[in-house]
Amino acid sequence: MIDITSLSDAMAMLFTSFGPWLYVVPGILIGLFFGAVPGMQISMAMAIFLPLSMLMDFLQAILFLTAIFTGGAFGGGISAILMNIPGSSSAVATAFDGYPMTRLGHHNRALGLALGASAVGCLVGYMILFFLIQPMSLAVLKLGPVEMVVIALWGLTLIATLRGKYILRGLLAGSFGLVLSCFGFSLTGVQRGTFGSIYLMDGISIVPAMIGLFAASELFNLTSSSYLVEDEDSREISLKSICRGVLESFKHPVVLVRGSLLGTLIGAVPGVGSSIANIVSYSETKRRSKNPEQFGQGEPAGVIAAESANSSSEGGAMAALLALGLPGGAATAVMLAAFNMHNITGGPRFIRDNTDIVYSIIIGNLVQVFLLLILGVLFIRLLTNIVKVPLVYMIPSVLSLATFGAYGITGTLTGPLTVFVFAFLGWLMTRNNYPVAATVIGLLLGGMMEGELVRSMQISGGQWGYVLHRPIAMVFLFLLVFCSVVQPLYQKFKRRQQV
Amino acid sequence: MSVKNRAGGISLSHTVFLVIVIATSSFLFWDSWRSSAKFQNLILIAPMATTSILMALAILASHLLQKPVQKEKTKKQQSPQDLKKILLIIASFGFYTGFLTVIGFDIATFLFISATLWIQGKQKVIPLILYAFLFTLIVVLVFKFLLPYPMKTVVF
Repeated sequence: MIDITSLSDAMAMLFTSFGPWLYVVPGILIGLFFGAVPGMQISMAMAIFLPLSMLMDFLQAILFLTAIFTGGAFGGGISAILMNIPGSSSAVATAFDGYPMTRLGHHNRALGLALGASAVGCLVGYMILFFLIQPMSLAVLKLGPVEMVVIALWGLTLIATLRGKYILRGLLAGSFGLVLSCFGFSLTGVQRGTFGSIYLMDGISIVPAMIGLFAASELFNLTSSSYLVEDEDSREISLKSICRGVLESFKHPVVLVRGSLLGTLIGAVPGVGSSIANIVSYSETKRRSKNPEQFGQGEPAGVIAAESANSSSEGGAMAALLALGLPGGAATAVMLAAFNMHNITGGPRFIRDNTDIVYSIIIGNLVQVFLLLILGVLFIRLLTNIVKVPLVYMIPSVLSLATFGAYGITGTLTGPLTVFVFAFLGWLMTRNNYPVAATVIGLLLGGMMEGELVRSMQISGGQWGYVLHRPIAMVFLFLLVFCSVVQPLYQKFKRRQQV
Repeated sequence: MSVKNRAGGISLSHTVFLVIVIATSSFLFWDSWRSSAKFQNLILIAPMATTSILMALAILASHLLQKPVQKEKTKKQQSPQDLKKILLIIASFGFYTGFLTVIGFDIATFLFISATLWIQGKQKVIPLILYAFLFTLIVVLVFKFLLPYPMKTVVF
């Protein structure tokens, strides 16, 4: 499975000169900064610095962009933990327990846990990529449109049913997200719900909607508090607590390994991977926990599960990019652009002909994990100061930053207005116990689901029985029914018996 | 924001949300149908809009059929003063996002920060204006440098 000659060539490429490493540290810092600032996105950072990569050779460029990716994946977790603003869709589940930990004054510990889990997740993801890149690419090729639809539905149902008490509200939030994803042009070129406005033709801009639903809605609810962390003593920033948090993450090896494996496998699914991986890992950890009721209240295992999965999904996404030339999300799409700029096309032939470069990318990313640990600890200290900022200043400042970030994504007033509309919607939802995360995932996956549904119907000729001939789809369909019907009923039955 | 006894204990904010879901889903389904009734155009919107409307109606009905004895508990129980503050901030945020390109990013940001600080009780004029000015200056200059799009500004 490992080509020793190519491996030694890769080692020679990486360790005989300082050239390949020149842009790695700046890349991680850029990623950390963009990931941690509300409204900034990893993909945005990669897109901004993409032209710069033209001046580098291919390996330097890819290591620089993956460094931004690695730093950004953890950076997104920082804002999710400190401000309940997931820096990207892959950090959605980090906020579930990370933010409650901050509110309880455990922000240092939560950040340490996230950093430790991110480092392990990234390490496992690239190790798996190193050993299994070829079989993984073959497995991804077996996923057809039916499987993609069922996987997307499964992910959506998982998040909708996470909070056992309000399952119907969760399902409504998810299906409403799918409805909202239908605004704009359909695949067949039909305009839907645009009111004739050119700004709605592309549909609802997802990132501004996500900022509004998650961040702004939460900020409105904070007006009655003085600080993010009310207790003055707990506001202290302690490098010791952060490091203790990093070490504590290793005390949950099962959660770490499960999250990393799930992240890598699901991360390899083009289009849905990283958005779903963190949620699947989180819900699986909650399902297996002896204290599932602690999840959502500041449970450390929740942060570890989410962060290990979203960081390892980077390895999975790289597998799809390198082996098939398919981007798993916005960030890998930018990386694909870097491939094109250097006249390189991903795919089985690329792996066969350039195995040394593939190994160099993987080994380079393994080294980045250790750099992330060092830079992360230093950078976290700077960022945790946000808990010392009085909310009276933080609320308008973050709202304004999010507005500028949204404008940066769309380039028109559509972005800021989307933030506002979804902030109000999110406020109504959180006020009435609806999971906003389900609506975000619905919005994210709706476009892909519609396309895959159309393709499934075309392939099957409209025969519903077609799904019975797809074993992988049947497995996910079983999981879907199990998670949405069997498990909630069983838990209800158990609760009644306990009463 | 609670309608005690009148609607089986459902809060006004919950009713507003459910009405938004029903209205949006119905409109989008109708508009999609009107634009093209082809199966491929309705493959996602038809089942999802129907499901959303039915679920929203079910939630609404379950509240309306409840004995009207107590108001519905919302997640965050805020005092009327806090609620007033939140609604004022939402309104000022709405004006901010709506008028960014009309009065310029710098003026709009300065006014929004000042207004929100004032709503939250920071009524000492000098620190309020100083913070709003410095924040606006830094953010506008940084984003002007970072973003590839033109940003309308009046002062900076």
